[in-house]
Amino acid sequence: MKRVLAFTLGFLTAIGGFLDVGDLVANSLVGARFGMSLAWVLPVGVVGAALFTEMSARVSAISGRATFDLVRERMGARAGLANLLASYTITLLTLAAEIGGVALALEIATSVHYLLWVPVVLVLVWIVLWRLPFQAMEQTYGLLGLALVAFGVALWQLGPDWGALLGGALHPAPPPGEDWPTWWYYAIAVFGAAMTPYTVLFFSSSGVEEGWTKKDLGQARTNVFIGFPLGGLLALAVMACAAVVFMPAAIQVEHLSQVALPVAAGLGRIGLAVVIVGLFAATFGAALEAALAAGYSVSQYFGWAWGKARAPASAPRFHSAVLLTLLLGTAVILTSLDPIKVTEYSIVLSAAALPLTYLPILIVANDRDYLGEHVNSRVTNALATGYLVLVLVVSVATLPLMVYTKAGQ
Amino acid sequence: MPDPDTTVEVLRLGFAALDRQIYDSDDRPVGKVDDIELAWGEADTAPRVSAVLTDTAALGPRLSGRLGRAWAAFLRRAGAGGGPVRIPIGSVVEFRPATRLSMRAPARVWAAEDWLREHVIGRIPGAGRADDPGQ
Amino acid sequence: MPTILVSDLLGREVRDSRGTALGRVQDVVVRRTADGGYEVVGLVTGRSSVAGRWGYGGSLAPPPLLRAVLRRLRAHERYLRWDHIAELGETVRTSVPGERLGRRWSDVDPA
Repeated sequence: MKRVLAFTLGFLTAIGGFLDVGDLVANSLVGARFGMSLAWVLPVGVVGAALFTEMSARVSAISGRATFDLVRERMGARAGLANLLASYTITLLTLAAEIGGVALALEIATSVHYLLWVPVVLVLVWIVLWRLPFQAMEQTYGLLGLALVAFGVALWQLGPDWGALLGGALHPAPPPGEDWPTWWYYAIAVFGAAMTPYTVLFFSSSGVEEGWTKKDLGQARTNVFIGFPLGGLLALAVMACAAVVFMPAAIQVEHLSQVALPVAAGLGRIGLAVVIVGLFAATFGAALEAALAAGYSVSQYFGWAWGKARAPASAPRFHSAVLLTLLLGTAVILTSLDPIKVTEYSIVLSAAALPLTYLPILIVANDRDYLGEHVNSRVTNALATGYLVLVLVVSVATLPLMVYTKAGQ
Repeated sequence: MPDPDTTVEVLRLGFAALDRQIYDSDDRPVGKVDDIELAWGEADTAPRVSAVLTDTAALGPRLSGRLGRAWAAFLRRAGAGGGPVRIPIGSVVEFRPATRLSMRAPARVWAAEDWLREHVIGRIPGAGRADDPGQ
Repeated sequence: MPTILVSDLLGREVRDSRGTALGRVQDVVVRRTADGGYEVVGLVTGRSSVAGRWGYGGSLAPPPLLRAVLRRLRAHERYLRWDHIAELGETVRTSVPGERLGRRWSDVDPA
C-alpha cells in the first residue's frame, strides 16, 4: 500500500500539470474544434514538464532549497521580484480559475448556481490547507483525481474509429474551416496549460516540506515519471472524448459540464457521477496546489519561515500569504467573470511567462555548488536547452497570436 | 584548477552574500541578506564589511527605478518605520551556501511575524498544530 | 566612521583615467582577513552582472548554447583593484587606463 501511495504526490502534481481546470477546458475545447490534430502537443508538454520538474526536484533533494529561494539568490532582488510578481499574478489567476472550476463541478452535481458555491469552496480549500496534514492531503486528492480515468473508460465504451483518431493525431494541420494562426494559438494554450509553472513550484517546495534527501531522489523521480505520463494520457483521453462526441456535431465547448458530457454518453449516470468526483478532486487539488505555490513563492523570495507541515503559528507570514491569496482568488471569481474565460487567460499568460520559471531552474541544475555530482547530464541539458528555446519562442509568439486571432475566435 | 567562485579567501559580495537566506543561531529563517554595509576606519586603505542589513526596508534601495520607488511608497503607507535591521559582521559565521549567524536574530526582525501571529493566525483554532507533533 | 552600502556602489558608472566608459559597478570583491573580517579589494565593472551572478566562470557548467550567451555577457567584465580607484563619486574614476585593468575579478593581487 505504501508503494501505491508513494506516487500520489506525483499524480497530484500531474493533475496541476495536465488535468486542472485549464487543461480540462483547453483539451476538451481543442478536441471538439480541431479533433486530434493538436494531440501531439500533449506529449511535448508532458516531456517538458517532467524534465523541468525532475530538475527542480533534484535541486530540492540535494540542496534542500526550493525554486524561489534560488530565483532570488541567482537573479537578485530586482529581477527576482519582477519574476515573483509575474509568477504570483499567474498563479493567482489559476487559483481563481480552479475555485471557479470546483464551484462549477458542484453546480453540475447539485444544479445550484456556481457563484453560490464559491464561498463554500473558499472555506473548504482553506480548511484543508489549515488542518489536513500534507501527506493526507496529497494522498486524498491524488487518489480521488484518479476518478478521471473515467474519461479513458468512456472513450473505450464510445467505441470510436481508433484508426481515424490515430490518423488525425498523425496529421498535425488545422481541419477544414480553421486557419493556421488559430490552430497555433490553441497549440500554445494546450502547451501552456501543460507546462503551468505553479506545478513546478509546488513539487519542488513539497520536496522541501517532506524533507527529501539524496536517498529520496529515486522516489521523487518515480513520482514524476509515473505520475506525469499518467496525467498526460488522461488529458489525451479528455481530448479524444471531445473529438469523438463533439466534433462530428460541430459543438463548441463553452462550459465545464460539456467536458463531462462524453463520459455520460459513454458510461451513463454512474460514469457521470464518477467523473464529477474526478472533476471536483482535480480542480480542488489544483486549487490547493496553486494556493500553496503562491504562499511558497512569496515566502521564499523574502526568506520567511514557510511550510504547510509546520504549525501555522510558527509560519504566520506564510499562512497569511496563503489566506490572502485565497481571498484574492475568490474575489476575482466573485466578480462573476466567466470562470472559463479566466481559465483561458490564465493558461495563455502562463505560456507567455514560462521562461521566467524554467530558465533559473536550468541554470541552477547545472551549478556544482548546489548539486555537486548530480548536475544535469548532457542528454538532460540537450533536451532542456531545446525546450528552453521552444518556451522562448512560445513566450514571444503568444501575445501577438492572441491579438491576431482575437483570443482564438 | 581551484574554482575562483568557491575559494574561501576571496569572494564577490553580489554573488556570494547578497540575497542569500539568513538563519540565526536557533536555525530560524530570519530573512535575506538585503544589503551589506561597508565602513572605513581611520587607518584603513580600503573599506571593510561592517554589517549585513535585512528586512523589507533594506530592499527598497536595491530595487531602484520605478519598482524601488513603488516599494518605498508602499512601505511608507504600510507604516513600516525604523529602517532596516542591522546585523554586525562579527555575528556572521558564513555567507555560503546560506548566511548563518552566531546569535539570535534581533527581535525587530520578527515584528511582522509576531503581529500576524498575535492578531490573525494565532487566533484561529488549530494554529499551534503541526503535521509532525515534534515540529 | 564613514559607511557606504553595497547597493549604493552597485550600478555606479565607471570611467578610466582618460574618461573612457567601462560600464557600471557590477559587484564588490572582498578578501577574508586574518581577524575573520572581510576587506574590500576591488570592484567588478562591466555591462551586465547576469552571467557573474549566475555563477558562470565559477561553479556553473552551463549547456553549450547557454554558455555562448553567458560568455558574451561576461566578455566586457573588468576587475578594478581598490587602489586603482582615483575617485569614488557618482562616477567611479580609475587612476589607470582601462586596458591595464585585469579581465577577471579572480585576478586578485594577493599582496
